[in-house]
Amino acid sequence: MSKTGFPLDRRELLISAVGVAATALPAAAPAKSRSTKAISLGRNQAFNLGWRFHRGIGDGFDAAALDDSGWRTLDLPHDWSIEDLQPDAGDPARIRGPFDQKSAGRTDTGFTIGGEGWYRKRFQLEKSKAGRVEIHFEGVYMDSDVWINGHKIGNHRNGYTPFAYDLTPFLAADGNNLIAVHARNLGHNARWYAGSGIYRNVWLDVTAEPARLDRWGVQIVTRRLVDGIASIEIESAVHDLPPGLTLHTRVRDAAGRTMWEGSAPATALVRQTLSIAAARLWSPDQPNLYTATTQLRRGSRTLDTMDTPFGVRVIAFDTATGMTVNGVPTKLRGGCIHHDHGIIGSAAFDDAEQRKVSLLKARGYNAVRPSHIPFSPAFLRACDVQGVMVICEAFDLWREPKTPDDFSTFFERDWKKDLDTIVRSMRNHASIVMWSIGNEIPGRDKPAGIELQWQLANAVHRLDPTRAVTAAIHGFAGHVATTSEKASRAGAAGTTDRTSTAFLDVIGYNYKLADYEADHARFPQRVFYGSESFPKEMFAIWEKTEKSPWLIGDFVWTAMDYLGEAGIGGSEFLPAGTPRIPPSCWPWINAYCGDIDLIGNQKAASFARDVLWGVSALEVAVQRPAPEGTEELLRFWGWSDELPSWTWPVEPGRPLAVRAYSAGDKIALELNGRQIAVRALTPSDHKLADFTVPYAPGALVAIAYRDGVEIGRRRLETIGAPAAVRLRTERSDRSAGRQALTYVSAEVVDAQGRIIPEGDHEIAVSVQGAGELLAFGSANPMAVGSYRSGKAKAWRGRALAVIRGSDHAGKVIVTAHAEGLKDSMVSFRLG
Amino acid sequence: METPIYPPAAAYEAPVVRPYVLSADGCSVAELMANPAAWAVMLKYMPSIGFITQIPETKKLLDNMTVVDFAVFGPPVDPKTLATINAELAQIPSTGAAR
Repeated sequence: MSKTGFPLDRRELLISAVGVAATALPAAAPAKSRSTKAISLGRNQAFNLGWRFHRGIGDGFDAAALDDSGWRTLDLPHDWSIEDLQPDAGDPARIRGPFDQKSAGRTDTGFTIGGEGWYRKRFQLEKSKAGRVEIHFEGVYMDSDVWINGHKIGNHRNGYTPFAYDLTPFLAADGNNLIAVHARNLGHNARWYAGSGIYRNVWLDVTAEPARLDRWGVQIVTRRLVDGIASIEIESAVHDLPPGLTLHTRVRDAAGRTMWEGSAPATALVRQTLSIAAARLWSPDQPNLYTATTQLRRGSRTLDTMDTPFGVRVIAFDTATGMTVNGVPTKLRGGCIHHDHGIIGSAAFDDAEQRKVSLLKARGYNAVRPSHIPFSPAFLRACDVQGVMVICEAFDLWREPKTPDDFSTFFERDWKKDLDTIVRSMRNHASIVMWSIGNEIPGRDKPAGIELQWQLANAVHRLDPTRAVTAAIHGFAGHVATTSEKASRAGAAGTTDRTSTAFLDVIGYNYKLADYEADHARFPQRVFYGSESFPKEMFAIWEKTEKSPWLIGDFVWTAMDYLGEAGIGGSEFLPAGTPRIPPSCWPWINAYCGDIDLIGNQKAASFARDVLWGVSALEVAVQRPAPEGTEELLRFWGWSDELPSWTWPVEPGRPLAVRAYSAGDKIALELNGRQIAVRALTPSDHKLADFTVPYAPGALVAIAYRDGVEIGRRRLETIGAPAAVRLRTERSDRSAGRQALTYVSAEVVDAQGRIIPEGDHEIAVSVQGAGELLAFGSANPMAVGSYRSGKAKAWRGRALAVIRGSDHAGKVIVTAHAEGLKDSMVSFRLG
Repeated sequence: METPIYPPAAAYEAPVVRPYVLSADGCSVAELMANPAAWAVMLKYMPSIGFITQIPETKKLLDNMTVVDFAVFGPPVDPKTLATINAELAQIPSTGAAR
């Protein structure tokens, strides 16, 4: 046991035992960057490079004089939970890569572990320049303490909210300073994979004088849109204000043209109103953005400056028209997602956040519900830029726990501060359409829970009265009650609602499709949406959503696979008559309920959703043949094990279940050039046509028609023997630097370049040049093993390498080798 | 068009719960468990619910789930049994206030 009373992982024990500050395992790819340049004036100066890291505990690690030269050097963002653990020599099967069978979180955290970690960074500040210096962390998981030059400057417990500290009083006179950060991810504190450490960006703000703009004090609101003219209000908060300063604001469009400019005498809170003619509005289809540059000036000298991107849009909800964006009725085509990035863990690289949003947008999603935490600024920026609406959720629990060591232990002390930070730091993101105060909250209908709901909802409304407040309600929503005039939402006094929903503006329903109609009849004032839903109900849900204005959308659980909550999706072949599918256990590591798999490829449910949302006119999948004597049972969040494949290891003639999803009214099937079936599709078929087709190697072709016109065609072929590994780089802007990620897929293909549907060859990748391998792995939900070794077995023919840029421009060469297959190589230039 | 405004409410006052009768699909499991007479009815007709409520993973859900909600994760409650349970529960006085 550690001094904290929590069991330590083996790595910590090893380090503690020898009592030295040493790195337990050599880094798979040691960081090369160092930041030696003296830091001068400026906001948002990246502070990610050249940190020293020690995984484990120890004394005196906060001391400025500590010799940390033996510590590992790395660049942020960093997540130690995804890094390899020291193998357990006495129990070799226990630990595989970052996965430990004895993890405290077990399936909740995907058998990963937390522990404690220390970060230290030395930096030089230009002497006599700074009036104030602040360090800004976007997120540290979790319960972190921070020191500057040996002085403790703060503790922050919430692992998902940003925080900042004033370093000024403790800065060294000679300009040489040291920051130390201690992060603790202890016990069983999350229901999903959280990651550990400084997993988001860190910034340094150096302002010339104590007078400064409030970090999150600029609020930009679209008040109205009339005849193309947008009326905008901007509030800017200023601190430590001496007389004689001016606040200047300039609004530019995406092309950099100035749309408005204005100055006012600086006060603690400056309000400016402006109009933009022919405003280019933000919407999911046209996500136009503007930027407000706010400056604090003394005469012609600028003391502080901040850029705030924002969108001009009006979001409204009512039961008659549902949700409107700038007056246009809009359904939330949504997906719930967790914040990890699979094989790179939770490290919130901008490129990883952008890729996740791009993957979802390409599949027709126009909305996400980041579950059940505030996501990174980079993620929200990606949603702003790509046009994906966000329900920003603050909490997964309040006072009552879901796991023994979770945030409930801090909630009472911290919720006001955390909620304030969440709303103020994120309120200018055009993509955020609602604030959620909680997900499936235990105790919400007890008297104290009802009062807390009211407090949370009204705290949000005080901070941002322009957005609706919601929560995700599962199960029983409390008894029917009437709220008083004083306590009610505007216009809601005297109406009846349930105690869980009475103080919400828009109601989120988790898994309650069967209640929708009855609840609408009983509570006609409600606007609601499916805040979580089962994938297999997607067609029934969407039919109801499209015809019901009061039902404004749905968020499937989930849009993308994630680490943790292992094995809640998928299916299993079990002896016929088995009543129930058993719970998943080791070696399940990912949830496997996503439309998109852990490395970004479409799964069967995603193909079906493509048809549901009009991304595709036709998709075809074949159910994996059940082993003799078995039948397929789905997990609650599961989907049948279907593949768009006509390559199956069965005898010719074996009947196979073929499923064609289409928005057409007729489907025809051809096998090896001969038409074998034609099926009419009616509304009662819910866009699905089932066929039973005797297997014969060759080509299965499905053709969809509407009104006699072909609208889609899909061809599944029997693939040849594995012949080669193929590397392909995803599109990237190819910038250099330690934040730059390049995704390279590794595929097992036949001689014609077709992916082997069941390809599971072990592939070894190596990287040379101006990049390093950050991770390599597959989407296999049971693939315990290292993501850092450069070796992984393909799963369903695919694996993924993530290449991190170096601190200099140059060529990167990636090679892949698999026994018995032709090698592959790709090269690209960064910078 | 105007951006809707959601002004904060003036002050907290507890909602007034309307009178209701106990039922398996209209009360949380926790409320029924807290009422010995009601819980005896549940155990008489659905003995498995006694087991389900002892599972650590489900304990945190008892406030927010009805017996029928739990049936999603186990054997479904047939309508006839539900009607019988509800008829007996309706004879038991409820507290008439939010838990």
